[in-house]
Order: sequence, then structure tokens, then C-alpha cells
Amino acid sequence: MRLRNGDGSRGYVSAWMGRSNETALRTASLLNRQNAAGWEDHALVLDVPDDATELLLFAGLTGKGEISVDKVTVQAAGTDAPLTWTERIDNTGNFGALTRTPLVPPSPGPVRHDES
Amino acid sequence: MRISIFGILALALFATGGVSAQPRCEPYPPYPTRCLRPVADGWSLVPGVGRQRQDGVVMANGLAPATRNVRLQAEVMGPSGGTARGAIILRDQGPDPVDRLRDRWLAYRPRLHGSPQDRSPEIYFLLRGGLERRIPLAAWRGKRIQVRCG
Repeated sequence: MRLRNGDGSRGYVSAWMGRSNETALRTASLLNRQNAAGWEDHALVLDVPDDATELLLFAGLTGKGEISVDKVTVQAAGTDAPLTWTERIDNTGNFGALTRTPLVPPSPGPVRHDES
Repeated sequence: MRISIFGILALALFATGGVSAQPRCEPYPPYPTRCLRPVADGWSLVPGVGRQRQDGVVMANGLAPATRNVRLQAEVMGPSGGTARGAIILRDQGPDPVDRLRDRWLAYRPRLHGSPQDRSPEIYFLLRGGLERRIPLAAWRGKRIQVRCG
């Protein structure tokens, strides 16, 4: 994905993978740099579960401003491609860590402050 | 196809009916029903953006302080892009626009996860407002994929 910020805001992208058992996997959010002027590329690398139904790709903003989203595609990734951080969300809406794999973030990268 | 949104302004328009497309309401496991508004090329506008002011009050859709004792689902992002989770109960005192906001939130029924310790002025509460696109995964089951620009 490519995201472009507006003034004073940061674009981000994340995704949910829905599963037939009504749980979901949510990825970490990949953010553009603060005040970045041009387009920034982001990629999510995911292992698709056997019961996956669909990917909900989400683009949003922190703060007021404008975000632009360019063409999005899905393609096969090599087994050595580093996975994006994901966590499981159960049918009560609670979050539970499933996999914690280091991100390859935009610079400066996201830092998680999890409270487990 | 390239599409844009204009942050809180666009979402405020959405909240007040300023966008003409009809919303599509649907189940959203594991969460309750939500309503999306189609925009272009498979993307939909998702309602709800919140922001925390320096005094700790959560703003939403740029309309009014949140005035409810309910939990809302949100993502908390710090100035470094950090995220946190936990629970915050929005509290209230609110003027009229809150009623409109409350109606919208009741329709969307989000819950809040945020870190009570992480209430710096620069932390934003994102109530999943923005753009969303659905991508079927049946053909990709059991495989590793990369979602990126083509």
C-alpha cells in the first residue's frame, strides 16, 4: 500500500483477517512518518489460516488531515519473508497475543506498549 | 485508483449525512453490527474518529466531548506510533451534539481499549474511522501473503 499524509497528520494502515470461527487476527498498524511529504510504501506479510474468510484492510489517520491510498494488491510471499505482528481477537472482543513477530516498519517504526 | 479522505472533516460530514451514498450495515464478528458507506473502488468509509485533548477529554468526529460511561473499542497511538491497549471508560458532561454522537456510537457499538497510563496530549484515540476494503482470502488459505501496492 502507499499512503500519503496531509499536513499535521499521519496515515496508517492495518488489517484484520476474519476467520470462520468468528475470531479475527489483527495486525499492527504501519504508519507514515510525521509530516512526510510524499508517498510511503507499506506491506503487510501474513500467514493466512486455513479457515480465513476475508481480509479487512483499513487505512486511517492520526489527527486532522488528508490521507490518500493508492492501489492495493495481494501476492504470494516467500516463506522467509518476515511476518507482520498480529494478535488474536476472540468473539468477546478481547485481545490475546497469538504471534509476536518483529515488524519491518516505516522509519521511525512503531513501538508497542502492550499491557498484558 | 487513488482515493482520499479528509480526516475528521469528512467523517463529520458523514456523521451529519453530508455524504450521499447509502450506508451498508452488516455483522462484524467478533464485534456487533456496524454500518459502512461505500466510496470508490471497493473502499468504504468507516465512521468514527476520536482524539484525546490535553485535558484528557476524548473528542469524536470533531463534534463534542464524549459524554458516556461506556467502553469504546479504539486503538491508541502515541506520537512515536506506539500502540497500547487496556480499558478506558469515557465520562461525560456534555452538550447537545453528544446526543447525535451517542446515537452513532450506539449504532456502531464500539468498545474502547486504551492505556490509562498512556494519556499524553499527543495520543489519539482512533475509533476505527477511515477507509476500509474487503479482500477475499479463500484462494490464499494456508499460504503466506504480502499485501502491497501493485
